[in-house]
Amino acid sequence: MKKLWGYIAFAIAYFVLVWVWTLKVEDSLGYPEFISGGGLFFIIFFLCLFNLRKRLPFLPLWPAHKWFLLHTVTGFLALFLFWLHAGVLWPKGLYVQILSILFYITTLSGIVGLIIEKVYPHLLTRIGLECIYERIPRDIAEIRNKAERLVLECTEKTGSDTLAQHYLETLGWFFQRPRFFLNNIFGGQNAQTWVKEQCSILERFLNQAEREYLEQIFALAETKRKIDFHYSLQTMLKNWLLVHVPLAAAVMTMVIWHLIVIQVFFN
Amino acid sequence: MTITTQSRPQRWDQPFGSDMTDADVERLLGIPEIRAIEADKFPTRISLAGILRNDARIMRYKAGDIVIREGDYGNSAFLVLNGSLRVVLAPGLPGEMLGRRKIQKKNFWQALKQLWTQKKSPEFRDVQRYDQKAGLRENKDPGSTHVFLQDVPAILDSNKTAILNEGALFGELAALGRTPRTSTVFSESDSELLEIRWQGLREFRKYDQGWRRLIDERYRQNALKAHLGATSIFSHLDNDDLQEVADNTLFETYGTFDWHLSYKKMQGQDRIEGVKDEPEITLEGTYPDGVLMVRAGFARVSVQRGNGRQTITYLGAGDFYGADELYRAWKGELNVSLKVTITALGYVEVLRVPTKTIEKHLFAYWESGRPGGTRDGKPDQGRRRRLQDFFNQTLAEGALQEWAVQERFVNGTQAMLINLDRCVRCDDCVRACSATHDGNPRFVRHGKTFQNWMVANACMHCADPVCMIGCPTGAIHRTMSGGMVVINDDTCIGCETCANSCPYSNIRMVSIRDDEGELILDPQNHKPIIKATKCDLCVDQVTGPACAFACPHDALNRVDFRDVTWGGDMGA
Amino acid sequence: MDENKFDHDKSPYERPNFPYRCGRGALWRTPCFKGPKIDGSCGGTQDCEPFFKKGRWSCRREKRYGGSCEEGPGPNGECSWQRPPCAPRKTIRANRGQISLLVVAAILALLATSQALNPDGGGFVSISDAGPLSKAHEKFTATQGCSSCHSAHGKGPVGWIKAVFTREDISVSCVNCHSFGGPDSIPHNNDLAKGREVMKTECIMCHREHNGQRMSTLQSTSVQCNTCHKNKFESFTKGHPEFPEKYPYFNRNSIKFDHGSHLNKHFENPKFTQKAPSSCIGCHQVTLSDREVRPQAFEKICADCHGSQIKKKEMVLLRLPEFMKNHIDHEALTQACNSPAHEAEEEFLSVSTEMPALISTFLLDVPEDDPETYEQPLQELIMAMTEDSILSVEDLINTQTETPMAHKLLTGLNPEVLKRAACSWGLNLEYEPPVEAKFGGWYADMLEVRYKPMGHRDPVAKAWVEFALAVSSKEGDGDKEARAVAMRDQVISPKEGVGGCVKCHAVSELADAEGNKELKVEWRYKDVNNRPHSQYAHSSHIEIMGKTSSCSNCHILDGKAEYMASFKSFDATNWSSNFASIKRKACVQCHTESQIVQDCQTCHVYHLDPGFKKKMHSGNKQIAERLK
Repeated sequence: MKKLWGYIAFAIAYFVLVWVWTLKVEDSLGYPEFISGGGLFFIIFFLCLFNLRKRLPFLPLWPAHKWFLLHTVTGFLALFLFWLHAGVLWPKGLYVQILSILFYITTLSGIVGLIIEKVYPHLLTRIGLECIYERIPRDIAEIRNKAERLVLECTEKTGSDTLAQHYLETLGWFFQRPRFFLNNIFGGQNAQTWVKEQCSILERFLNQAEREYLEQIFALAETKRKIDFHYSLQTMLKNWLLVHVPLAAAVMTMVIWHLIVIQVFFN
Repeated sequence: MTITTQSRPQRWDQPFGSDMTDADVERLLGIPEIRAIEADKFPTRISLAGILRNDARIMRYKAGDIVIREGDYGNSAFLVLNGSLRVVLAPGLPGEMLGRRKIQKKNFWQALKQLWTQKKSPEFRDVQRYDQKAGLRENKDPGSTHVFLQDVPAILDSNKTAILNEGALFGELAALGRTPRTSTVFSESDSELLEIRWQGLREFRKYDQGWRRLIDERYRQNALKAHLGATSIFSHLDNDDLQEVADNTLFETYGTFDWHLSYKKMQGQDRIEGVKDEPEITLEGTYPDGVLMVRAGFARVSVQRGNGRQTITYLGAGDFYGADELYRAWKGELNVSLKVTITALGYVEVLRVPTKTIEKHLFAYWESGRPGGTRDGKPDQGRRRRLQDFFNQTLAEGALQEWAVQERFVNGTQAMLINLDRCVRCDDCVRACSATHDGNPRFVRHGKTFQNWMVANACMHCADPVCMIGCPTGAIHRTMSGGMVVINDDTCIGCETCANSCPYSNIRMVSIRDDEGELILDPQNHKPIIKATKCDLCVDQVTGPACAFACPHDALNRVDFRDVTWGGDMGA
Repeated sequence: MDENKFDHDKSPYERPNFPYRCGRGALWRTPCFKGPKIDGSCGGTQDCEPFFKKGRWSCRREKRYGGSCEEGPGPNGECSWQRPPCAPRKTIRANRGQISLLVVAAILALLATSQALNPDGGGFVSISDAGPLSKAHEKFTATQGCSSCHSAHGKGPVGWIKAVFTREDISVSCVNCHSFGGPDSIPHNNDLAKGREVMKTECIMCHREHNGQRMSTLQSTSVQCNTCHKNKFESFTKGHPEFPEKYPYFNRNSIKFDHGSHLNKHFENPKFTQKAPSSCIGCHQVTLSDREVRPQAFEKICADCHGSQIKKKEMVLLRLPEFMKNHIDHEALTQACNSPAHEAEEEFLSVSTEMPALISTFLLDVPEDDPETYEQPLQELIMAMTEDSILSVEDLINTQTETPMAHKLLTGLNPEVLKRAACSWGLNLEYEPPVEAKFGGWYADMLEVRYKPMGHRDPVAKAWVEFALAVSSKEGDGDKEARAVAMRDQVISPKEGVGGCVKCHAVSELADAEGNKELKVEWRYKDVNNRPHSQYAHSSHIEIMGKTSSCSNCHILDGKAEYMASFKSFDATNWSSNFASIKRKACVQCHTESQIVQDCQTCHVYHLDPGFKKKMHSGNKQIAERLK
């Protein structure tokens, strides 16, 4: 946290510097837009460099966590510089309006991403199980196979298909693929409740032998539920960038066009 | 959960050499060095002949074959049966000649080049390279593959060597002390050697006066004095005093040399029971009989707490214990007893400096008020805490430490510790790793977890690198500078010895591929060629470990658990 | 979960840098261990490729994937673990990269289309639209679009590149339509710096477009003014220089109205109190005034007291003076006058003992006090008057000035009357007019031809004053010039001059267009028009402060001022006002922080005479054509 304050202080200093400079330029009948725009462009460019930095992990370009802190802090800085540059929240002119909406969504997605990156890891740790995102399909398939084997075994050994019926009717749906995505990403308990309920309503129809199988299936369902949780949260952790990165590329493209137009028409 | 049962492994379940015949044993019993052993001193359960059959094997080397390499970790000693061998004296042979990986830090341009020289194909290898590699004398049994020196006369010209002839014993110190081999030995002519693994060697030393004297004297002569002189408590002594201390010092080994094998088998069993089974070095409440110094391996320091044992810390190489208690007793305090129990974690080599020697050479020195020498427990240097500090920690505070000891992560000097409360599972670490290793990750971002900590499956560059024991070609080795454990892909023959040895499953075998992504097969049997791979700590990268460098959330750090204490610096 | 799932032989490396993932896994079925190939095709159709050796096929499944399978290869060497190929999917990261490229491509395409379809920026919705123009500008750009102002527009890529490297001042486009009283790109459009180096100004320094309905103009604060002005100060309250000494009474009034004597003396006089105005607004029209507060018309505010005085101030054009001898040809006279014959007197005894009128002596260029010198020319004039009546005088006058003025000067002079008077005088008789002149105008009476002004704004009187000033301003120190000055002094004398015009109207020495100094009567109320960069609105001040007594808040009578004395000379610059000059502190009472605005532009006007050029219509084709 101490380090963070250093970065925040840097960002504030940068903003104040640009601001004071624009005021000075404005006072001497210059064009403060060039100053604030230059300051903003430099920051946006730096923000984009983060992506480049990630592609060059082998170069001694400062540790990534420092980049991340700077990226976060300068992200907010860019927002304030944007306001300083535009002078208004919602500028006029179709081009800059498109640019603004892209910029705002990029910033907003960044803030959302930041929040989930700071909140979700704790939730994931708390669930008490770790899994690699790419292996979730395999893990789920494995659990499903185990569950289905158990169901078959139960039917064979006990001669009763109550469990199997219930699996086909209800439980199978759960084991099919990750479920309760939306509920999970908001940290809900629906999956847990559902698993518990679906297993407990069955209990009174089973004899002791069958119940042992049910217990094993319940244990599998619990594991599956945790993997689902990982799936939902990790999907979010990865997919917010699906908005952030392409839009950032779009913003950068439009910014460059903006610069070209300025150079041509407002030289 | 299904519990797999496993009968405790028995001695001699697996003999050292698979083809030792009765005739061989008979022949061995006839050679002078063995004949001198009093066979009746051995217990019937562990007979001399049994040791020879199961703990020894006869190895034949051609002229130029390397027998042991400087820097290797070995678990065996060699007795020359016939032929002559050469010991390369300092400065030793260059690493490449020994089948080591050539390590050179990349410059900026070379580092950047990795951006476009990366192969799409996973585990791509340029097979051409292997044809130019240093000579390998392959064997049916991959374990007996030898690296041979191409130009022996030239080596004899340019290096100082000493001759080892029939009847010479070498390699016993590294085998017993679990220290790296200090020099390279190669066969000058075709030769025949008796290789005795550490278990056999220990029995010899235990039950035979002659071998004990031989081994101990050589140890005192070659290693002990230098070792003691380098410790903090004896650094003030002059040569003669040091010799006296060395002469009086006892050395003992505890635990099993290949603890990693049994440890792996024991995994999943009751851990609490495991603690009770650890060999005791000292016992809480007993009277100290000398200062205990750990020369190699790790020892658990625990105290009784309720009905269990609380691990408060561990001792590693260079740590010592007992000086404070002895000092207080020397000063006249009554009923001074040891406050902790010390047990061996795996294999420990311990030096015990007797009370009298300590009183004469250390306490007198302390009394004189001269500086130097630390009073107790751990050397008071750097970030390491003193033993004293550990007594007051709560169970919660000590939990991570206890876990690390339990899982033997204390062995690691560069364990990959991930703070899961920060990790966003972005895999930037894995991608960075892959980017710095020609498109191939060298660790898996999973592993054992405790609370919010995960020790990922990446090589920890152990203080006690059990993986290096038994590598037939010396492909896995420590770097000369920095001591990182690395694998030379060129000389790796894919025997899986290291991967199986690693108690942490941090070495992974990969099937190598061509640039089309197709497997490269052995033309003989169409089996894929496999290679051992692992984290090399980015030894040739300018950034240091790329994983930690690339972590955007400072969640991943490479740590030495010696430095990690609860609330300490783990990037938390 | 499996305790050993992390084992080196159970868990191979994950490769997040690989762009494909198993298609089976994506459908939540069990993914195969082999995974997609590097070209993105399925790599897991079979578990191994069996090897044929020594007459039999053997399984080659790798150990970490389970080792040799129980089933073993089929008789033809096919693996017994066959699966239909899956359709591998791209990983999230690979998708992300593709989407990024797509988005960038889409934007580039959009820009390109917009550029291609819409090169002049008009009509079609342009993505490059920089924002709506102000109402004032949106119409004239409607047809030509962006290129109305931006010269680089529509010039193609080459033009654009050129534009990047050439500095373009958009002000050039602005002044196509806008005009100023001075150069466009120097501060204030006015060479106030007088040779000192000043910043080149551009319109966009203060005026910005593309901000919608209203053009955004920079509020000039003291800081902006301070950019150039050396005397830097913070605000009107803090540091603004004191007003000039005479502020705001820089120029002598055109009307000699002594507020002091009027307010303190005449209006107090019981004779006039009835007629006197009750306050300033009795005379000054203040409600609609900006900087100037004009007094009302003479008839309204002065005539009550001063109206009758004008008629009393008559002018003598000609006077029969004393002659020593009579040189007039008696016969010719009687013939010209068509009068009964008279016997010429033996002994000539002049009927008049007066001096000749100064106007006539000036016109004839004769001394007024030497009968022997003036009698002959004067008698000749009288003789000419008997014959040609008014024409003779006209001729005489017209020779005095470059532009003939006689017509104006003699308007209303009855030639018959003049002739008769001349006839009488020729006979050395007093002229006896048939009726006494009551209403003013020209008349002859006894020995004189006189002019009686008919009231305010009498054109003849005005003409004579102007004539006197015109002829007296010729340089030289001969007799003629002295006579002109003497004549002028009589004409413009407040007491004796015709109509007493100069009693109220100031006579000032003014420079004409060529810089020649001339004396002029300030007939009209004089605006202070030589201060184009400042402004003041009396009306709004009065509105706030109230009509009746508020003038005296700023305009305070200065009792000691020698107001009338300053009119004695023709020098209009050297004068003292009736009122004490206004000091800054008077304004600061209200124009101060937290009270009333004190921006520079409250009082100061930046531009000099802003206006429009006719050319501006050329922007609009329709208007341009109509103008042709």
